[in-house]
Formats: sequence, structure tokens, C-alpha cells
Amino acid sequence: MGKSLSMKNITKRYPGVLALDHVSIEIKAGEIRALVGENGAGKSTLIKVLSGAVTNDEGEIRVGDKVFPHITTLQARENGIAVVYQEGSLVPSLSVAENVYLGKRFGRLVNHKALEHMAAQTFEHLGIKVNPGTAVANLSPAYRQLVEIVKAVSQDAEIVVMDEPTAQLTVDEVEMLFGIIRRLKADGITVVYISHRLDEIFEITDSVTVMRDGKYITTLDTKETNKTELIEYMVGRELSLSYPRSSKPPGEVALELENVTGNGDKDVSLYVRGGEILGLGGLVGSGRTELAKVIFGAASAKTGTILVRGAKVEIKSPKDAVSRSIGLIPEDRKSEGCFLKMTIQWNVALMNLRRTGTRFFVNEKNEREQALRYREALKIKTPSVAQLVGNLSGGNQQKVVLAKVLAAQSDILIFDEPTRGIDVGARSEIYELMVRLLEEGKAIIMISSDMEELLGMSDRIVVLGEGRVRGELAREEFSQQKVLELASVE
Amino acid sequence: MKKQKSVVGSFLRKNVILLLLVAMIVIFSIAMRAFLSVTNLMNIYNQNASLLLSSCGLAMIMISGGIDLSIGYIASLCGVVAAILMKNYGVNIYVAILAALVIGAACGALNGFLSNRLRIHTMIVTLATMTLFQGLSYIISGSKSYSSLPAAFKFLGQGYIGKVPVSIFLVALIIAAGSFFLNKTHFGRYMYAIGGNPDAAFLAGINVGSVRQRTFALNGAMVGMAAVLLISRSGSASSSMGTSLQFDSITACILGGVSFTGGAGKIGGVVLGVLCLGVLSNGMQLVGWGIYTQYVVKSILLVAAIAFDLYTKSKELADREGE
Repeated sequence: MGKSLSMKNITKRYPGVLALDHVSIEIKAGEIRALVGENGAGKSTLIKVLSGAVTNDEGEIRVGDKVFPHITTLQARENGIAVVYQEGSLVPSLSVAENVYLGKRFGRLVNHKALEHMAAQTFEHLGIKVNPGTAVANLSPAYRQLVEIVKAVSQDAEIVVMDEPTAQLTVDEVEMLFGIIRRLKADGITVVYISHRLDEIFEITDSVTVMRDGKYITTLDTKETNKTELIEYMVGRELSLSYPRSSKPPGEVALELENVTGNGDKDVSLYVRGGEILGLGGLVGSGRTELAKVIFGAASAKTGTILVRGAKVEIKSPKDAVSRSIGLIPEDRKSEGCFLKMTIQWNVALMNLRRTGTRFFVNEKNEREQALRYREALKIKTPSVAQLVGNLSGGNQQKVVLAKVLAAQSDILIFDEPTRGIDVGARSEIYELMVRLLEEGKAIIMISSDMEELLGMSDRIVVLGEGRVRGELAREEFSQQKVLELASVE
Repeated sequence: MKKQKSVVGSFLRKNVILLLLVAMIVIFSIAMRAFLSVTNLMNIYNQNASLLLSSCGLAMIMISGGIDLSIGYIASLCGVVAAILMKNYGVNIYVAILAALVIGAACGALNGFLSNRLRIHTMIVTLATMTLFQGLSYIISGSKSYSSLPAAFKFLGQGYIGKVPVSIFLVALIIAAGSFFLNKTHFGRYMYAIGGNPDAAFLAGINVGSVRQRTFALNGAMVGMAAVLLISRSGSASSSMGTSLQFDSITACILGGVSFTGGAGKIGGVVLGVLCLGVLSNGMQLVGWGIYTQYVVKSILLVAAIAFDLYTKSKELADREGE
């Protein structure tokens, strides 16, 4: 059975920052509560206080009928609080069953059969089809996420906290996750659900708590609110939900693929014109990111032709792609996009050393000027371009990656999940930037698993499935239904 | 109040190695008069001239995300070949020096090439080639030692202008060039990039393999020069010379704040790291501690440096989370 949870006047100070400012929330047993707010609103800190990872300076936590001035990780676990982390709590080389019961001892030796049997029962109860004997390393990121959830739930959890559980999931997998959450609810378990995707909140939760700048703003009944209202509370101002559109018509074809095969993609033909966004839709594993890697030379095409502005080109490495003015804004900005330990100035300059410096030498003065120009143009929020990129928020990191690519004079841009994990305010800024780039005549290929974004921003959509083009939609034909149909046709 | 404290703390954290060096100098000069004499200071430099060069070379490799365990035997090979060329073949000393540099660079290039081609971590590649270079060195030298090298050659490592060793100019020049190279050239940038985040570097259009191979070759040449200084100073060469260079270099780099995981480090820090090791050995020798005691103290210093580095990083992380 689930427990009720109440956190009263929770305050957490870091040097110079008030991360949580007298936040109070109350959640009834068996309730599914969404926690929303922009990045930096204090959601994660609040969760960390609840799990014992962070100690609050003031306030009290009540779990069921027990009251704690602050809670330790052990107390949290003993009282049935389980947090599902976004990534990283699984050991890839161990099996699913071993991972689920990691840290639990049943007798002196590991009994694999018994573990797998127990895990199989749990998975079946939750409706997940996974072989508990498989090594986690062999699972897709989506299934790993599901295993994370099962791991948390299996430890007699009564309050389950999910922090951005759907960030890595496709539409189908999100449905599977929701199935799990509904079953948890049926078992009477309390769920705290954090997500940037507001659609999900309306689908699955009972109530929503909004936080902003470390403060509690309000709690609403999910049925009695709407997206616009939520966003207003989140940003503290009115924000248009509409996606910006370019005022100029598309121009010449900038990039064309003819029958490209390789890296898991088969016989792909498509084109994108200057001044338009070609959206690539499809499920995770449909070959979209793989295709981006082929276009960018990070993986090689076996057969087929790539034409840049009508001329056939050989792209064997990202270096070739960059010299053909193709730019990639990768899916995972932390591991593939930016250099976290380096400054903004350093990052922005990296692909453009010849233009700011000479053939062999760098020129830090020019690099600084360049970085300042891009800070202004892309509205990168930082007091100084000497700031380390690792210290910036997700949205600002994404802008630094974009600045780096733009500084290399790229005019065919591939955005792979441009706004993943980025909060609402920064999102609309990224969209506006994309439109400005279109108006400058740049061509954009956008891969997005966020359906709303895909439909809102694209001029045309090509849907991939199992590495093949499943169909193309013109803007007049856009609908979620059609994209999903094309994506899932066998 | 709190802020001030953190400023002082951050200064301490960033300059701990400098403070350590100053503290050791103060302690040793109080304990032993002779420590601070010009002769002794020059002595410290002379004992560590080769280490300065090989550490700077290794720093570049570590910054670019690699490690080189074969440095010691590259030095051994280069030294033996240069000595045999001069002694047995009467080769001009400049040609012999050039030969040492070229052989060093070739050994380094081989390390880089194997690591790229076989996609093996540089630690494993250089562990293997270390034995290769050792074997080659002993085969070529026939396990013999070559002494009484030409006087003009020995002048490089033993000569003085007034009270200043000749080689100090050369070493200072090479180190300054190395630092300039790392900070001011495209290639230096790429070293930091492939060490800091190889995937992002690749996607930024940097040829990671080529940068790695050239970095190893450059380090090889630095080690070749270190070998030249080493045999020039002792006036003789044998295959067992310089073989501990890799471990001292790694220690100096880590003490000097070069990240073991790549992407961070400065030549200035490495020079401080070498000086720390040098002052420590010399001071302990003057005080009369045996070589084995020195090993123990050095080991404690290294562990402390690593622990401190980790502590600093966790502290930075905590500060960052607070933002």
C-alpha cells in the first residue's frame, strides 16, 4: 500500500543560492502527483531532499505517520521511498535480474535461477516483456529505463519518484511506462512524476505542483487546468505556445541523398532546401540518428550519392562534412556536443580556429570577440564568456553547441533532438533561433521524438522506420496520427 | 565572510603545488644551510633536466587523453644509439643528436599508430612497446656501456657559462616552446579537445587519430632530447639509463595538476611538479635520508596529490551544484 507524503517548509541553502525556499507539498496516499517547473526551479533538489541525497536546512518530512526533521538515504529506503534516476544506476555487464536485486542479499550465494524467477514475476505483473537473464548492456536505452523503474519498485516501494522517466522513450514506450504507472496506482502506490513533457502530465497524473526559482507556486487538479495555465505558472509570465514560422519561402535544394545505404539505413532518398526544416520522424531505432551520422561522415555510407548544392560529394569524416558547411548539433550534447571543462569562448572557437587565428596559431582576442558576438546573437545567459560550459544550464549549453557549429560557417544544419531536456523558456528561444537561421537561408534537418515539436517546426516530414523511408508528409497533411501510422507500419 | 573564506580556499586549492614547493624549500633551507647555495640549486636542476623534458612530453600525451609507459626505454634506446654513433662510427655530434630525436619520434609514432590502428588504449600499447624498446636497446648496445663520449658532446650536459649550466638555456627554450605550442597553436587546442571529449572532438571535425599519433611522435622527440641530455651529463650511455623516467614523469605530471583522464593541465604546473620531486629528493639526500626512505616519502606525496585532486574536484562539483 502507498503512504502519504508531506514536506513542510523545506529550505536548502547553498553558498550564495537559495535552492529551496520554504517549500511545502502534501500528497495523499495513492495519488499520482506531477512536479513541474523550468530547469533550476528546484524540483531535483526537492527530490534529493526526499531521497536523503541532500540534507535540508529547515523544515520537516512526514512519510505516512513518521516525522523526520531530515531524512537519510537509509531511512528513505526503509520507509518505502524509491527514486528512479534518469540514468546510470544499472551495471551494464550484469543481467536484468541481478540488477533489479542488486544490493539485496538472499542467503550467502547468488541463486541466479531464483533471482530470475522473482524478476520474471515482477516484470509480468507490470506488463513488461524483458528476459531477466539478458545483460543490461544488450538492452536499448528505453528498456534500461524500464528496468530502472522495476528495480525501484521491487524494493517494496510505497512512494515512487520518477525524474524525467520519458526523456529517452518513444511514443510506444511511453505508453508502456504509463501502463506501469497505472498498475502502480491500482496497487495503491503513491507516485511523484517529474517531466518536461506537459502532454504526459495531462494523461497520467491526478494533480500538478508547480515550482519556480526554488519556491512552491501552486498545486492544481490536473482535470481542472490546461497547458497554457501551467506554462504561465511555470515561467511566471504569459508565453505563446505557438511555434514560430519563417516568413520567407524555401530556396534551392541544399542537400540531397540518393539511395543512400549504410549504418543500418537502407536506400534512403530525401532532400532539404535552403530556408526550410525537414523533420525526420520515427521511433527510436528507426535509423534517424544513424542517418545523421552518415550525412555527417561519422559513419560511412556503403552505397548511394550525397549531393551538396547539386554537386556530388564524398563525405568520409566529420572533417569533410564541416568543410562542406554541414553542421551537426548532436543528440547528446554533454557527451558529443560540448567540452564541459572548457570555457564558452574555447568551445565556440574550436571549429573555427583558422578564421579567428592564422594557419597555425590561435588568436584569443578574436575568439573572445567571436564568443561575445554569439552570446549576444543567441542570447546565451552568462556573465562572462570565460565561464566553463559545464556550469551552464542545458538550454545555454545547447546554444553554445549551436554557436560552435555556426561559427564554422555551416549552412546545412542537422539538429538531433534540439530541445531534449531543455526547459520551456529556453525551448522557445531555440525555436526562434532556428527560424532566424531559416530566414538567413540555412537548411535544417531536424530529428525529434517530441511529436509536438516535430509537427510544429517542420515544413516537411520524412518518416523513417527500420532504416527505410516510410513516407513523406507535406505541411498540409501533418497530423500525429499520420506520423505514427507511417512510423509503425510493418 | 563566507565568500572571503572560499576565495582563500580556492587560491589554496589551485596553488597547492606551488605552496608545497615553497614550504619544502623553506624547511630544507632552515634544516641545511647548504641547501640554498647556488651550487646545490644548480645541482637540483642538473639532476632533473631530462625529467623536465620527458614530463613536458608526457604532459601533452596525458592532456590528449593518453599515457606513455614506454618513455624510459625510448630514452634508453635513443641514448644508446646516439652514443654508439659517436663512439663507434665517429659521427658528428649534431647528427647523433638528430638521430636520437628521430628515433624517439619514430618510437612515439609507432605507439600512436598501433593505438589508432588496433583501437587499443595507449596504456596497453605502450606497455607492450616498452618491452620492445627495451629489447632493441639491449640488442643494439650488446649490454655494454659506452663511456668517454666526445668532449664537445659532454659540454652540452656538463658545461657551465659562469655558474649557469649550458643546458638550462636549451631546456628553458624547449619548455617555453612546448607551452606556447599547447596554448597558442591549433594543434595544441586539438590536444585538449581529444583529451577532454574524444567523441565531441571527432564530431567537431578533428582527426582524432592523427592528432594522437603526432602527439606521441612529438613526445618521442622530447624523450630523445631528454636522453641526449642524460648521457651527455653522465658522459656515458648504457641500456639501463633513463629507464625509470616514465614513472617519475607520470608522478611529476600528476603532481603538476595534469588530469589523468585528459583535457586539462598546464606546462607550468608540470615544471612545478618536477621541481617538487627534485627538491624533495635533494633535500632528503642532504638531510641524510636513504634512498628507500625517499621512495616511501615520494609515494606518500603522490597519493596525497591524487587524493587532494579528487577532493578538489568534488568540492568544485559541490560548488557548481549550489549555483
